[in-house]
Amino acid sequence: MKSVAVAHIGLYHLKKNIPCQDAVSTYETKEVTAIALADGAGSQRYSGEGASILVETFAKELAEDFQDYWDMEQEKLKETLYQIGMSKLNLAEYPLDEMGSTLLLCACHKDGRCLRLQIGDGVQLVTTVGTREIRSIQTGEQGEYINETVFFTADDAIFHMNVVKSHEIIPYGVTFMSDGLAESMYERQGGIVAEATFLMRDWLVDGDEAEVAEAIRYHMETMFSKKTKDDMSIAMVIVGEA
Amino acid sequence: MTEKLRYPAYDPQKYRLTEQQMIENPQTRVPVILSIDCSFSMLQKGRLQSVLGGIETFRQKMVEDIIAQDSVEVAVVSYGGTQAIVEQDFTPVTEMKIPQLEAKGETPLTDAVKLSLELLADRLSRYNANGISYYRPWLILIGDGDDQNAGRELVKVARELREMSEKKQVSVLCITVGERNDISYSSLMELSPDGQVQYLEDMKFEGFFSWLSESMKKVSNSLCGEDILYPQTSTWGELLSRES
Repeated sequence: MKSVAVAHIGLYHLKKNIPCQDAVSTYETKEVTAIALADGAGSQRYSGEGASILVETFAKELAEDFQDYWDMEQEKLKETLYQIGMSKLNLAEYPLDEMGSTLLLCACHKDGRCLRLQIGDGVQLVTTVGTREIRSIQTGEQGEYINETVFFTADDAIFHMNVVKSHEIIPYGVTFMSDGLAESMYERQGGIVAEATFLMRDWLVDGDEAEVAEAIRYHMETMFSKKTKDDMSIAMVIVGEA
Repeated sequence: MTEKLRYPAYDPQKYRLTEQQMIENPQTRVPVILSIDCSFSMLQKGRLQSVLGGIETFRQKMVEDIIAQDSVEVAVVSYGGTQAIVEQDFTPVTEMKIPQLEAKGETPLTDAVKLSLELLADRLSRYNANGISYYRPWLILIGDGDDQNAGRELVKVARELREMSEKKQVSVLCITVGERNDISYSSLMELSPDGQVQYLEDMKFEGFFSWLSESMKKVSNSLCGEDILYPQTSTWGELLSRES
């Protein structure tokens, strides 16, 4: 298994001297690789910190205790993850209502079991490695209007959590994109996935993780930033050979 | 310690993307409806002309902002005499024409709101059909008198507006104009979901439309999840509420 995760500050925050509010993380054990991506709420002062806490907590948690979570009944799984996330956020020195962020989370076992969770917006894509086949696309939950979504810190966050457990045929890949990056990678009208999305996945199949991360960061700086002023982030994992 | 290599030092051809391999999504829109009273009383002190001058100011300021000019779309509905009329359907500010408004008769405000909501519903369905995302729409009602003929229909429309506002489906801003000691705004007050009406002194339309353009710039430049801090309204208006 291979994974990569990159977050890059957008022009809007750069101009306002505000840190990047997207956060990403990967975590590997012998049998499980987890990726996580969170997009901090634009209006909340410490949302970047909240996003970082969530991705680091959950990537490690799901990778290390994959079997426990896999065995858990769905409602209990949501409740448990919510409690873990909230207790970690509560330990931080920032007000809880200033640390809102979305969350995309995936843990892939080498045997094909795949556990994914989403709260709020962002795009998650499951594809067959070596082809352009899309097994699943989820665009998460957004408010009716573009500047409204659901955050992990919301009172009714559990209600908005979307959890999927699947047995995937190997090889496959999971790609997460924040809404900023999705501006140039996913066409909302037709649900079309940009060729660039597949190419970046293929880089990971063939290349070195650190090289791929650098290449993605380079394209975020030079190309994707022309399409959005928002922060941009991506997290990918591939399971098995092409 | 060796310095970390920066892409494209590794292999630029191996890791290369082109513009053609990316997606072009349309700009997020901000729909705004200006619903303007064209009853006879709007001829007093050149109010109607002042409104038109204000709209021109708004248009100019919007066109100056590179994001707002592609994002903000304005419709104009007039109401006077016996009916409300769509003077201009939703149009990008760069293509916006200042309508020629004529004053006539009474104040069919209720009809104007109904027509505005129909226009808005049609626009939003077009956005949805074309995969265009949008910010919460704005409905701005400007008038100097009450709707004498609507009766229960006004109450019904007011309830609809209130429900839409509670569901965050529309932001409603009610503006009453005229002499301070002679303003009639009970219909606007009824229609205002938060029970507040802004009183705009005659000839302060420039100030209002400048405020509106600044607000629209903030909306069109905002990011996901961002609360928008609008400029203060006290420079041009005085807040009147049900309690006052």
